[in-house]
Amino acid sequence: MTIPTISSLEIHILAALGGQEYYGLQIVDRVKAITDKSISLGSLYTTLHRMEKKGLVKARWGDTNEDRAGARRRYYEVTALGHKALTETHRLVTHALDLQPKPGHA
Amino acid sequence: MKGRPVWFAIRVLSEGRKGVVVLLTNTTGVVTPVRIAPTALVEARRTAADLVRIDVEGLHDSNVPIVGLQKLGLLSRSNDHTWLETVTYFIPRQISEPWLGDIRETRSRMRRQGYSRRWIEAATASQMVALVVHWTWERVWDLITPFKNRSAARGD
Repeated sequence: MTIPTISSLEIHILAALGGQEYYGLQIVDRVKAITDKSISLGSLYTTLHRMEKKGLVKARWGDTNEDRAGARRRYYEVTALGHKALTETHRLVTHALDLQPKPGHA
Repeated sequence: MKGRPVWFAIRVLSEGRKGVVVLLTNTTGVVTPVRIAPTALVEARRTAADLVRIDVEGLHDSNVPIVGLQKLGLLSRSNDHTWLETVTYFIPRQISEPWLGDIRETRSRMRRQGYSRRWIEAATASQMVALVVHWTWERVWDLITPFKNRSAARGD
């Protein structure tokens, strides 16, 4: 199985999702809380759509309410492949950091 | 008197799609709920003090003297959301529907927090531009890099 490469925004989203299931606004709030970065709903949903196609997340339709005027929420959850991609990215970053010269060593 | 709009100010408590529902208190103290259809709303503006001025055609024909007004449900969102739905017409439902719902939820949240109508419209417009730009960029990227299709990079 080939593990897809992931962008920084995809990493943020995977980190925000963790092991839970969240919908758009909750993900935006969690990304803000974790990284202190604001992301637009437009970039969030196009990225989530791409991640869904790559198999990094899975989604299901949820509920609606009066505020949403009939538009349903869509809940996202990290898949096993998404978890593997995140783990692989972590391994690569750790490896790259290990190759860097330590402070104080020329 | 017929055809002359009536102006008044009401406190914002909530918002609905089916127009405005107000409680009209007549001179004898009887409170009557009246729903004002979205089409009867000539103009509606939110003020910084969380009041809404609405210009309504025909309310004066009800023969109910307006002594006091109390609000139950507010402005129709059918008008100010039509353009949003139009914008998302060419975008897949998996993106457009939850995006539209989140935008509506955000707008309601901002109204409750007392943001002005102009500020809410500006925030919505920026979100809309972000969606269109990101979606267009995704499509263009897939077109110019068929050998490295990010949307079809599923690894199983």
